[in-house]
Amino acid sequence: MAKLGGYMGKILRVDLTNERLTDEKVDEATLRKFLGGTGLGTKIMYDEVPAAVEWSDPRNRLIFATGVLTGSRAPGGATYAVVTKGPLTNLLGAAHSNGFFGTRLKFAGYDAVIVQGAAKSWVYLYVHDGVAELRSAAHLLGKDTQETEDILRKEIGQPKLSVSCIGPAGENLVKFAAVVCDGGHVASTNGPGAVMGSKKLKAIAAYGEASVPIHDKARFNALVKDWWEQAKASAMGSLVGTLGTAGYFSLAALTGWGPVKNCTTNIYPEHPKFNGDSIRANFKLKPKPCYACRLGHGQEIEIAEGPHKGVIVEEPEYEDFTSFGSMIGSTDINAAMWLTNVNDRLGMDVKEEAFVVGLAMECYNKGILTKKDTDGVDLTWGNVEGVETLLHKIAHREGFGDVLAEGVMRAAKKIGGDALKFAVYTKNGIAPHVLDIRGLWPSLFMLTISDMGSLTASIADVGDLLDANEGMGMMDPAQAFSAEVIPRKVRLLGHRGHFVDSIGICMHVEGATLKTLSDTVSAATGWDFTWQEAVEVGQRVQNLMRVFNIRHGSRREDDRVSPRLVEAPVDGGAQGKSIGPKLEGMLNEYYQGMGWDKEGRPLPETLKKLDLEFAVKELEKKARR
Amino acid sequence: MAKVELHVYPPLSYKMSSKRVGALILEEKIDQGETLGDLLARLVNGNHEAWQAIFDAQTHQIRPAIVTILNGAALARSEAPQTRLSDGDQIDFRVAYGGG
Repeated sequence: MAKLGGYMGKILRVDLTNERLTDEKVDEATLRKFLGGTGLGTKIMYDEVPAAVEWSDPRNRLIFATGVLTGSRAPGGATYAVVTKGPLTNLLGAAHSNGFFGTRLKFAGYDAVIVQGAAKSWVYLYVHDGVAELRSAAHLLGKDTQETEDILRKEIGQPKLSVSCIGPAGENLVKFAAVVCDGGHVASTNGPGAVMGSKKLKAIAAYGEASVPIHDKARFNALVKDWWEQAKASAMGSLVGTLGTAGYFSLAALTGWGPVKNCTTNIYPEHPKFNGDSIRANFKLKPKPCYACRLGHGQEIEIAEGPHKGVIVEEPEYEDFTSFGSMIGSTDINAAMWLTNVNDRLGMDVKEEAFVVGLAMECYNKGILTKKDTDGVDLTWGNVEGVETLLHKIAHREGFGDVLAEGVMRAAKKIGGDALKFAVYTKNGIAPHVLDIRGLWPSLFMLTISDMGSLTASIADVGDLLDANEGMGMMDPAQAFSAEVIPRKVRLLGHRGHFVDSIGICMHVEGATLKTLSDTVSAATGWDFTWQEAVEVGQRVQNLMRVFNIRHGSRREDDRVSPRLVEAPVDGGAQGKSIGPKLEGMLNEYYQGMGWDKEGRPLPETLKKLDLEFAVKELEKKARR
Repeated sequence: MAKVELHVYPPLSYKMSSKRVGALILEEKIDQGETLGDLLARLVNGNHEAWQAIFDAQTHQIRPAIVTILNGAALARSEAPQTRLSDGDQIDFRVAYGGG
């Protein structure tokens, strides 16, 4: 039988406890319902991780899943998802990364890798040309992510080898440890690196020469051409392609969602220096695109001044610049580039890092912490050397770093006093994206209801929201703070976002119509895959995530944000605006639109409509308890 | 004659100028009581590709991917075209994108 287009036809199960590697197949009906990436990862988590399993339990799964378009020439077809039960929320986490790893994994013959159990001693997995093997990683212990990649590439002797690995933070079970590949591409939401560390898996190295089968190449190529044209003309394509994600630094600073000093203010006059136009004009850059990308987003950049002058690093993203610039009260852009590199190499999620370091600095500057508490580290706003010291202490869980390694909410509880009032987090203890989401309610609301630990999509004018060429328009002040508009748009954007996260493409190039995206899936697979089916996949994934999280203890009370996030900003573009009084009503409307009950649980008819009958009984049983 | 300043930010400005950093600043004369929509319609009629990317003259609307900021405060898209301009106003145009 001919291989189904878009897929390599097998997944790898790695049982670390028993050192057993097995090839498995996923049936076509399941692939069509969940596609890959986040969707397939969520289905596997649902099937295999029962309620009693905590994030560090060997029975937890760590799933690296590519999408149906990963490794094809579809725009941005480089994305893979890392899905697991993560340590920050002890609920589902789905993180995404680009670069080359997902593509190399498919070229090596696998659509996904399921990791279970825990090794007795540190190992790495080498996947190549349809086979896989576990090897000792003793020599990699303590190495940062870049060193690990370099060592494995040399050891295996394959310059095109792609490595997805953890750094010291993952080894030391820092709760926001990330999985890093290809010199700075990071899957980080909800601490997948800590799960990887708990399994004593240091890295996965992948290489192969296979190619992804495409059912109808002529149609596929024509659709890809059209998709690129749409994507480049879209808001995200035109801005990110030309200026990087820092292209919206000034917009954020001026309209009230640029985070400054742990969200104690929104005033940051130095924003033009950090905006993408200034960076792209004043620094030496060299394109470093991900696989199948013509956008111009990925670049290497040379640090121009200061103690690290001349060092070449990955160009930081917007959230890196806020984390190591405005959030810590620094205006030193060169230091921000260096600290981003340090953080990536240690293997930590920049989101949680930003808000846990921001919390520590606010506490220090308000006298709640002193040098006695911080092991002598001076955390005065703007002290970049202090922040660098802290990053190393966190990654190695040394002294005060051990407190911060628990993430922002738990660190605030340990610090005590007013720290919990200053802490910025959503759900039951996970930091938001590095924005001041009080000035961007669509993001705030999306994070409040997120079942994967992060935003399901950017707040952009995507190609169309669903079928009716309905743009988001959420930067429009008439909608940016509208309790009436946001629940519906976030719901629809969630359907689209979960579909996109399941097909293996980069969010920066999704600015084409949903019809173009779904037609491309059709051309790749041979299915007659409509945009309506794409929406259904998004809904299905969203609902199954919710059921998984309910199984693991999530309740309506977890759809919330920390006290600071319901305070009105004291200045800037969102001054005086608080979502607090409106949040419960917005949740009610959102739940209703999703076909959920008042507790945020999917109704039986909703699940049945989405071919999720198997989940109905579980929820009914739970409700009876 | 009253005048306003239009600040067009990258990458929107790249279609109008070779300037790479910061806003392209254009001074435009306005008639008394002229609205932002009328002014933009005039500029689009000059057939400038960049203005077409900002304003849809057929629907008389600012395009959805654009944020318009008048004297430091963002304007609601539905209200922006009807906004009456005054001497000395500064209007910024930026691409709307963000959120992580």
